Amino acid sequence: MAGIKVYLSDDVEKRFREAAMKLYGYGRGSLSMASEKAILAWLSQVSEVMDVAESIEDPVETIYGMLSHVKRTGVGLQHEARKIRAKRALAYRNIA
Amino acid sequence: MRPERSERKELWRTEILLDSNVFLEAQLAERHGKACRQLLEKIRDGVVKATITDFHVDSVVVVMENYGKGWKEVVLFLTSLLRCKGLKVYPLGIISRIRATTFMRDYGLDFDDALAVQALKDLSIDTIISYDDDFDAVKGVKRCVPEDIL
Repeated sequence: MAGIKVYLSDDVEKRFREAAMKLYGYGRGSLSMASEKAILAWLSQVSEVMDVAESIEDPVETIYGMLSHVKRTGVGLQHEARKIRAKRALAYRNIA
Repeated sequence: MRPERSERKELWRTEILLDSNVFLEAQLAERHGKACRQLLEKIRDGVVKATITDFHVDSVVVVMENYGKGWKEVVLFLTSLLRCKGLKVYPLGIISRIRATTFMRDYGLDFDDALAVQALKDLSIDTIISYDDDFDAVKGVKRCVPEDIL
């Protein structure tokens, strides 16, 4: 068994400890058991996207300028999203 | 089971809520691009802790699609969010959506903005980073732009 030392904020540590003890008992091993479950749950979420995530060197650089060809403001685009959603929701009516 | 409001506050230890237009401005890379980029860099590094709702993430994706971006750009955008150490995506449920309608009624907000205000209430925070001045009329909401907090 390997050990990992992690640092948590005080409130998270307290909540985690309490929950682990309540679920798995107040004896030794409860924190390790809860930690392993939490880590496995996180791993199952992120493992599917790891290939893409690794390909991104800098997330901000990746996002920056993605819509540089669009001559609108951010607020204007955001309000436009509402209209796009409405248009798409009603698109089936044009097909029939 | 969905945690109570007070518990959610603890779970989502957040300082600010991000509106979609912060990401859109970074994508546009124009007038506000530099400030948004600097803020996002702080969030990327975990220096600033921020939350965005799942609905507002989707709004960015809807706009991207509308302006010709396909799945490759969308996956890069979404995965970039995952790479930001200080960013959490807050999932809005049906109860939050129902509650948000009170802000539509009381302040004449559209649903998007009302959802953002509801998210602030859910998370027990008061600061939203947005260029949209529709929030200025809402009592208890403090709106800042990235330029204000850098």
